[in-house]
Amino acid sequence: MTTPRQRPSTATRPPRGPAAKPRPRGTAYVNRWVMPLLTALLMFGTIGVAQVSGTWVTSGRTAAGAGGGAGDGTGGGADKSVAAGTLTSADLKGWMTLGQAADGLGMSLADLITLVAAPAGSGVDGSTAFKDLEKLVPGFSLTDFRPKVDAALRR
Amino acid sequence: MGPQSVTRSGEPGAKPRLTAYQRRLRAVTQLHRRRHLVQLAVVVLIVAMAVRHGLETEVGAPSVDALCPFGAVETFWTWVTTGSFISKIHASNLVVGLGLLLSVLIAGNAFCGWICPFGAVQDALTWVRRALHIPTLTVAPRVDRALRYGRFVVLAIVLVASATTLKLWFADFDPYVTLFGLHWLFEPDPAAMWIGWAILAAVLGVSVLVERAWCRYLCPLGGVLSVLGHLSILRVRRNPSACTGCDLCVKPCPVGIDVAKPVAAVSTDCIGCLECVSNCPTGGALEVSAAAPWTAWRKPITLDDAGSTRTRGPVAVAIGRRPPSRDASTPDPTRQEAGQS
Repeated sequence: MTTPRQRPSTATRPPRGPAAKPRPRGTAYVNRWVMPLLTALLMFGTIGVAQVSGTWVTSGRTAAGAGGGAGDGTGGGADKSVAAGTLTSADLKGWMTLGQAADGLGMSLADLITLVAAPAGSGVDGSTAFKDLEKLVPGFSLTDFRPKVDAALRR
Repeated sequence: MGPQSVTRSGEPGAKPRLTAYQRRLRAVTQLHRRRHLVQLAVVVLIVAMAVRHGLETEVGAPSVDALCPFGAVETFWTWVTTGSFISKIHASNLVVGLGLLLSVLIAGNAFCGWICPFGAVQDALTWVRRALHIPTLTVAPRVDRALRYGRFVVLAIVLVASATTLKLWFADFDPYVTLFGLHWLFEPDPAAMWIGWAILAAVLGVSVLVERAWCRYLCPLGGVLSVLGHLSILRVRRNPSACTGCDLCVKPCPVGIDVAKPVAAVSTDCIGCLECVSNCPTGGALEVSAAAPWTAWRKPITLDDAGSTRTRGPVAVAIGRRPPSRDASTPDPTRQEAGQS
């Protein structure tokens, strides 16, 4: 990506200076490539250590008590069940299906689908994930949906 | 055609002895090649992750949100006070944030110059600008200094909004997420995304005219790193006794740091791209060096590191205040030397 404009100018080029002057006290010369190399090593090394130790979790699927696999790093678990009655409305995540949410909340799937207020023919069922509802149900928001779930659970 | 080189022995096949200009040109070219290759690799990696996330929704491939170190900053307060994360933030964000923290404390802020994908996009725009011979927009120094506080304003807004809404509030406005999240490709929703698109277009447009405009004036992660940079062990440092004051290091700086100003350590706005080091024609004048962070805090503001009692207090250093200007009655010896030659 070098262009002529980036090349060092010869017009203002000073002569090479005298022999290297002493460095300021307390500093030690380091090869310049150490800076980016060490940065990459520390960044990706930390990620590698986290993956090996099982703390590299990139999805709520493995963190919300969704049936094991915590820290498997894959974020997999769409087919995993949620322990019945272990969730509150705050635990609902975009990746969860309505079926998993109904199980976790301890309410019937039919009641949950009613709360969603999906229009007829939208194809919403127990396998639909909350994040997909935003496309299927106009105006649906998981944030706004949580208070409705709380109200239904209190009834 | 490049300048003629001479050989050490004058015989064909012998190793050519390069002139100072050729050595510097080679160093700059080598730096560009390596840095842009690393940036390209990271961009490809992030785009591949985003494509995988967009195509394999059932597998649950990580989104770009889950790989951003700024997510660790956004959720930090909520995590400390409640033990949970804000929405769309996971343990991976803390891991990447920890890696970045370690790298900044030890190796300085080379993340922005070498790894950040959005920085790579801005560098590409600069390359386009140069190729098309579009003139740059010169920001007046006083305006530039004032605008740099914009990073801290954005940071404060994001932190407050994230802590109060418990959501990844910034995601709708973050140009990095807008561009690399690939929602514009897999689930375009103009009604919901137009603000993000408008911000992205504005940032990219300005970045054509002002090199790394986002990094200089608005990046909240850059604001965090510029503060943490005061604790870095490795930094680009200037040796005032070797510097000839040629100012060749100033122009190539992508974030507009006045590298040649008479302080020992280059500003913490530095993104570690090493352009200034490669362009420095004087051995030992500008180099990467290791030092205890507190040595920079107590550095006397003098050209030759001798005799002055004026020092920068830690508070002045932390907020990036410039040192007091030199007394006009005491001429700059190194600049005089450069002027005479």
